[in-house]
Amino acid sequence: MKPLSGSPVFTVSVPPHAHCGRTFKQDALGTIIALLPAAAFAVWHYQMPAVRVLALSCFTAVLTETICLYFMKREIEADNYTALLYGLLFGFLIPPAAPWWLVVAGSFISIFMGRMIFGGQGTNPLCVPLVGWAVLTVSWPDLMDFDMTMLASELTYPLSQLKNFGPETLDEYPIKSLLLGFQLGGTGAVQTGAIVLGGIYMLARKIIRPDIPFAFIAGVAATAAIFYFIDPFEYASPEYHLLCGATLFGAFFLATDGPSSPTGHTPMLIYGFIGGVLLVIIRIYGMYPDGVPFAILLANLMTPLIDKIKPGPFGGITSIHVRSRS
Amino acid sequence: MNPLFSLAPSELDPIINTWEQELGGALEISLEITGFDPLVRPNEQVAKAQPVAADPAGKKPTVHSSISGTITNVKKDFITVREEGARIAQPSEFPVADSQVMLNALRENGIDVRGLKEGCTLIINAMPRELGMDAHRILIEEFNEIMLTGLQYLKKALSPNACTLAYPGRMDWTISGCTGHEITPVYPNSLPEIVTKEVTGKELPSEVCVIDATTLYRIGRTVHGRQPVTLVIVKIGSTPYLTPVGTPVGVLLKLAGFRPAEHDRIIFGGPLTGETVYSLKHGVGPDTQAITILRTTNTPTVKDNPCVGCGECVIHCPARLQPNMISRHAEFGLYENTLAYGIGSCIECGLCGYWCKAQRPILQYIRLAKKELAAQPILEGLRKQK
Ligand code: SF4
Ligand code: SF4
Repeated sequence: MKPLSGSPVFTVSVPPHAHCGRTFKQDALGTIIALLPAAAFAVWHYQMPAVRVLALSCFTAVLTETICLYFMKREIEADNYTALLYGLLFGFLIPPAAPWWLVVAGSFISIFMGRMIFGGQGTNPLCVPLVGWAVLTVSWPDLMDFDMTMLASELTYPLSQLKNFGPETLDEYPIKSLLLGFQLGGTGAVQTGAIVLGGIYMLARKIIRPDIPFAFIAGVAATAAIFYFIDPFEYASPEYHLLCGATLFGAFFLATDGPSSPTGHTPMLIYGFIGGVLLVIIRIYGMYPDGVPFAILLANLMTPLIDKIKPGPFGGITSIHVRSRS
Repeated sequence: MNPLFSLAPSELDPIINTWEQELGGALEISLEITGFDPLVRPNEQVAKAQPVAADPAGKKPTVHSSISGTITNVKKDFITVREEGARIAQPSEFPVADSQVMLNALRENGIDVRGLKEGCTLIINAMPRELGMDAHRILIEEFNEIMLTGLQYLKKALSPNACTLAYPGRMDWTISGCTGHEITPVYPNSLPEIVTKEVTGKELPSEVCVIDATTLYRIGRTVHGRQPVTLVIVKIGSTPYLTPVGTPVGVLLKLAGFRPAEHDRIIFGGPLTGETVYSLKHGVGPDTQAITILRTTNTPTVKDNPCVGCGECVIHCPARLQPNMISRHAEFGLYENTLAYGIGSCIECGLCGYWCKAQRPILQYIRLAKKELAAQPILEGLRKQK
């Protein structure tokens, strides 16, 4: 643009002119960085199959989003990393030995049915990767079963052991080995120690607020403690519920997904806590060994309801005419 | 704490009177008159403090020329006057009469009296509105008796049942005849609604009037000098400039040694609630307290992104609203729906947009919805309230 009168062209903007500098794009990138340690652990445990699953899932997610946006005649927004992030999160959830078409189908379904159908970025009512996960789990239960797909691995799946043989089997999983990821489960989701590192990184960088993860963990711990207190021989202790399976991954990475979680401190705490409670209940009474995905999906469904819990507005003005600023 | 939100008054540099400076030619002021009827024609000679435009609805304050000069241009939105001569308008009368007459006398002398009601609780807001908007400390610390004159006039006009000076904590500001109330100097504690809450403990009570310390000073000056105030203190950086109303911002920036570059933002007011101007010819208004310059940097700018549900706006909103939901409805023209989310309680602090991770122009969406709703017949609005 040419200046009209020799003076520079200024930017005219609407207030507020200042911005805190944090954008969701940076946050998506930060979350991906937070996931890297867990991805590295996954590669250490499962070698190439893990690389294959994660890469394929990310690739499919970004491609799906791009194709959808093309048909929606919208600007391609792969550069905001959110599709990449959802692809990675999906890859974390499924078994490393999953056949390639399963990965592609799941990642595609996540992005297409979980996100683009509702309008893309920011509109998903459910946590995106869990949509694909749920469809796959219901449609191909055998292929999504960690014990069945991972027969070649020496590792075992503590949650199905717990379900089938009772809590005493958990004694063969020392806490340290659980933290180091010596357990079967989603490719990256069970790298518990690395997930905690990632979670701490996200909290420190203020990518997520502590409300949801801590409420989620508190929900899990409290519910598990109640059951454990009732009958320690029948139910697993809280620390196993926290460290086995995808609990912490769910707490830090899935439950905190922006569009599908409520806003405001109280709703966030309630939502996280409900998610945690549901998780243990599904693990104990449900037919699936790990309740994380379904617990979070159910909590997601309650989000609009939980969002209704809000303080009254300042001064409670309900008409625009009563008070208008000059 | 975020330094942007600090409202603690700072030490000021000595005040600079612009007319004592070398401006490189006659001063040409630009007075904003959007929505006003001009009272002068081009090439007409005007005196200092002569009215040049008035509000046809009789609500907003009359605009006066702040210098003696010749009208060079009369446009829909502004009038320009080139300095020349030393004529001064006749002094006005300020009778002690009933409230309406006294307030109207102020209005005709350029004071905004909208929202002042008889029998109210009067709060004088001496909080710096935003970071660094603290030049009014000179008025309180050095021209206290003028403030007092203004207060006495207002007391006669409004007969308030109480009068409180709200000032930032750790300052020792007083105006006699006012109780003092310390307020934590953190944004948005300077906005009238929050100040009212701090002082009275009530949210949006109807019987409270809040008036800026600067306005109170201008009332005092007007009544004392029997003439509209033609000078305004505008702070740039840490230097206050005393300058005629309407002085082009370019002149002030030049005095401040600031060379604007492409795509900078020149803001009248502070970075959260100020208004940007597009031209260096834009004149400072009687209520401009500071000029903030935002350099082109990589700070995120507003985008038409959808809300990503991060919840930052909800957590930071001082009016306990859900700006995410309000802006979503307003974005798609569903203005009616925003009422259910309490849009009427928004105090336009701008914090939602400051924190929005999707860089949404939330406050702009809110203002749009408010404007559209206000354009509806008033009965409609009241009926819906039931
Ligand atoms: S401008 Fe935004 S943050 Fe401020 S009161 Fe209004 S909605 Fe709330
Ligand atoms: S801050 Fe912006 S992106 Fe976050 S919830 Fe509010 S409107 Fe949505």
